[in-house]
Amino acid sequence: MYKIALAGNPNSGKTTVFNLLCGTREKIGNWPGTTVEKKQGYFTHQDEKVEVVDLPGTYSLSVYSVDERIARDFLIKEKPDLVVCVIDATNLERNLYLVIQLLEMGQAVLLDLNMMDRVKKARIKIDTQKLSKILGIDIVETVASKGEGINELKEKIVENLRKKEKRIFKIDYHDLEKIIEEINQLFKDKKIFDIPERGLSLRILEGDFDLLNKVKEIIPQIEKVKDKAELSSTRFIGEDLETFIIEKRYAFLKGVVKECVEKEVSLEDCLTFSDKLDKVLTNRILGIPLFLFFMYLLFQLVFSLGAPLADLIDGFFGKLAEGAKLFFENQNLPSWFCSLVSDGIISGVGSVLVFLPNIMLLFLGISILEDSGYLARAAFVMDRFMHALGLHGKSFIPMLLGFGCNIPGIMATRTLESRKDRILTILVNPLMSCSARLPVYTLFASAFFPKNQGLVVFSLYLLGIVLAIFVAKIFKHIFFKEEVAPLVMELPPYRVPTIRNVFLSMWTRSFLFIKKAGTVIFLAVVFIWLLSSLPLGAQYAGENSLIGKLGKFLTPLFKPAGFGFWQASVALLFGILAKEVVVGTLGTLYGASEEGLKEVLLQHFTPLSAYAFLIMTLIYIPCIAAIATIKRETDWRWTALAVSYSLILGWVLSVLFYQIGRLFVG
Amino acid sequence: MVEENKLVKIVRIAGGRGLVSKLMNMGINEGEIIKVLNNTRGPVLISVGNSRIALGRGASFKIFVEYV
Repeated sequence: MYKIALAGNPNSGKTTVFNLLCGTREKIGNWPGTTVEKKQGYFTHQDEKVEVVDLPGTYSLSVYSVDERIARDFLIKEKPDLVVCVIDATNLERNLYLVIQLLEMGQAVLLDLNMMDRVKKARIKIDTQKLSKILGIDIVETVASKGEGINELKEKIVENLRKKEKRIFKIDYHDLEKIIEEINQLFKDKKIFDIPERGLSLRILEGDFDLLNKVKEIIPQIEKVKDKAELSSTRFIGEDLETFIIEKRYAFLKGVVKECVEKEVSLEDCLTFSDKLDKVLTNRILGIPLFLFFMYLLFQLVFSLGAPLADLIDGFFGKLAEGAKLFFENQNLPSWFCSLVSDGIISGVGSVLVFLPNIMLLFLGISILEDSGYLARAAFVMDRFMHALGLHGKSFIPMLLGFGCNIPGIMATRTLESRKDRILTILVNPLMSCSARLPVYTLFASAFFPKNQGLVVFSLYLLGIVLAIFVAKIFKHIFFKEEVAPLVMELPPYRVPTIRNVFLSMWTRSFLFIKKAGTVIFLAVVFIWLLSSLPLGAQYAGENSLIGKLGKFLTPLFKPAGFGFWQASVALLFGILAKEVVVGTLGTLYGASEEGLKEVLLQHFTPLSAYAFLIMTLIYIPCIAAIATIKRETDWRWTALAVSYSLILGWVLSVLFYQIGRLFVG
Repeated sequence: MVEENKLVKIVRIAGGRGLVSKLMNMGINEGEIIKVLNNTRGPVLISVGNSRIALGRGASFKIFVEYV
């Protein structure tokens, strides 16, 4: 079986091509950094089975961030049989940079000129035959967003895999050639990642420290030779080696583009529609108010449109529970079974699933944000604000994604160049109210603050953001003294979100929620039901049931926050499994779905303690899946910090809120 | 600061090695003609080739340009 990789600049459409090749539905988006891990897929064409690896985008083989490192390491160490370079053909010069770096490394490359529709629209003519001749590689034209050219791409991939000849690609580095030759000699007869000598020499001279360290094991004198070269370069050429090499490559590419492209876009008259939109949306005065307005709109969408739909589902589950109970009783089934199904499963899982419409609408909004190209603009307009927290605009993208779910939010920090920015952004990400907390907020807000429901929920989102600011500032002060890293981020052109993409991405994420309801939440609920029913003879979900005893053990801890009864403690405890379980637990314990649940809650909480409970739910301990992700992306110490600070902060704030509030409300 | 929508040529890029090489790898090189599209009080939006790149205020101060 052959192994190929898809590589290219960020946002050039690699994952779109990947999905078309392999028939997968990996997430695509119109912003650089949608893909931050490598993904595998397969296709078969003309009896050849091909493994495809989709890589995160990168501008070059020099790495500045974790996602770029994943791409670079794969390309250098694993040496796929063929690399399909997916290229934004409207920006040939810069996109070809990675291609020639790969060619210099002796990598077999097939060029995929993507976004050809935009090229034609801009009336740019690319002489692909000439380009193919100069670079010595085959070229395929595609419009991946419309699925055009994929069959031809498959054809060419297989054709290229079958032909074994190796072409040598060489750029003339003038003054540097002597040094390159000198280093080449050191590599004679030594096999390092199967890269040709010249390729190795160039990477070393460019300052690839990973490779240098690896080479040092085999050729100890390499470091000295490199330092000498660096010295003579600064002395005789007047530039450091890296700068010199990059400039030479770009000079070569300028020549290539001049020969192969007719009417490269002239800067003067190219104020595109996208630029005009940016004049307004990223305007220095309007930028932030417009962003807030869009957020408000999204919020309204989730609640005004979501609420009546949620009621409908709730009605359905209520009837289902009643119906089930009646049906089972008539069947003479054991009473424990009836209780498991109606109290446990239907009330527990049902009370969570009720919020499916709200969650779908939230994901719909986030998908539109991602697909339109506005997400990167939000990072741009918020840059100044983020500087106040000691971060920069790019960190805002993971935070916004956190409103959907903290896990992709944490993953998205891989695009951040500085380790400090990454860790800070990861630590505060759980403070962004994810969709799993939405059911808890909505349930309590509609029960206790029916008139100001929207306002109450909004205040919790806001509280999370404000806390993120403070926490980031404090942690930065304690752990990192460095300056703010500079923001450098490409903004994609705006496009009208396609209905297909938006709905697909909304559905994929909503489906995860449904799946979660059927797995984690389901199991948690059954477990809670079991604890509520044992020991035999004890009243279901009574104080003497196992769960009652467990809860009572924790209760004193939450008494100062106003919810010192065991049901609340248990709900919070099991909520660590997944935040929706907070609602699921209450549903199971009180054996009621949403409407009924509200009435029961009104007997236990006061509006004051209800809000304190919501504060706790917002802040305390990230869910298990988020903890695991933090651990994977950092180390156990930062993970321990994330867990402990959130627990302490949540407890302190809910207690403070309740105690101070009591002075006013009585 | 550079006026919006005027063409300028990059004369020199100062700053740490990481930043300079990152910019260069993205096609922001000496001699390149660029345009400032949006100069907010925070970051700056520039147009290089056919791409739009946002630069934080700090980074933008490190790029020296002249009008052409």
